Amino acid sequence: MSRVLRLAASGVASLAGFSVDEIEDIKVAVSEVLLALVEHGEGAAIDVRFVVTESGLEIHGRSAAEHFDAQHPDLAVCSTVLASVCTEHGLEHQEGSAHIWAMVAHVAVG
Amino acid sequence: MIPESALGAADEQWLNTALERLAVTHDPALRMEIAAHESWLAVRTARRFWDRGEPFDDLTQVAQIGLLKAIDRFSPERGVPFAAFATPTILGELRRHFRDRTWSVHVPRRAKDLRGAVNAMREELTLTLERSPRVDEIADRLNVPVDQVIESLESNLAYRTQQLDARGGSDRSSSDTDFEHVLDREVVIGLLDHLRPRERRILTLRFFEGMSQEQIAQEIGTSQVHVGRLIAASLALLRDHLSENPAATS
Repeated sequence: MSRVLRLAASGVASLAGFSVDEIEDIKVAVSEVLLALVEHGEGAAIDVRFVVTESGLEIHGRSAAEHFDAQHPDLAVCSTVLASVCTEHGLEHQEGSAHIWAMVAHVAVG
Repeated sequence: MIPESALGAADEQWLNTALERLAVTHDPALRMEIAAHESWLAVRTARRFWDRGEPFDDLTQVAQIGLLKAIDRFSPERGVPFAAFATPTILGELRRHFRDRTWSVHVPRRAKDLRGAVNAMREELTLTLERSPRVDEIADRLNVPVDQVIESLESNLAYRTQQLDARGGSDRSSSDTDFEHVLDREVVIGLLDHLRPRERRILTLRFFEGMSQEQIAQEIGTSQVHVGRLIAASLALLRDHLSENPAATS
């Protein structure tokens, strides 16, 4: 599933005029968001959306897990990885839902 | 919010002190102690790539190399947390590993065939445009659909290890075949560093990308005969090196 989502993200980003370096960052971010939701989301269904904005591409991953372990140390690594490839990222969670988002900036060229 | 650190306060204090000491003393033992202390970061970053077909042990080793590079380059006075500095370095090392050192591909044949050309064009356009190219720019130059370039770029991250003698190709000479049977991949990787960049690229395309001599000739803009000669000369050079350094095969 990770590969399918990476390919989908690549397609969206390519159509939006992102560079291959930016697309590489997007693919890492997609994998990271997915990994966090799969590993800490108790096997609940995951919804992933890509949103192209003027400043970049946003990745939104949502899980309907009853209990999302937001304090797990591995999420600190997730955060560090996302911070290294994204301009902004974050996690919001409450009973019954978790939302991880990340934004990779796009520098428009000629 | 996502927790900012996976380390306890005592561990962070130890790490910061050790890194400050290392910056002054350059003590190799302390460097390794820090690497051991922070190996969790390498392992966890390597896990990001576990589903891409490479053995996890290999990924961990590559990540550890990235960690060592990060330790060597880290400047405590900049005030950046070590994990925030090291993670991009480790990620970069893992990406390079997939891009340069793995070759057996679980992707459509056309993506496999195109991968070398796409990577070469990506490098060429990066130099000429002085920025990272867009996918459509690579596709235009190679005269292939954008979708195929996307597939090909994804194939950079979708490999598994495979023995050299599993490679196809109709034009392999006896010297090619002997070489493949005698050496395993890891040995070859080490030996390639003894070649000049052009020869190294040709052998990589031939033995690791599975390209024919004719395809390589088109790729680098020369004749098949010349490619054949360069391969033979390079193999002879590598054999000489092997006979002088037999330990390289163990």
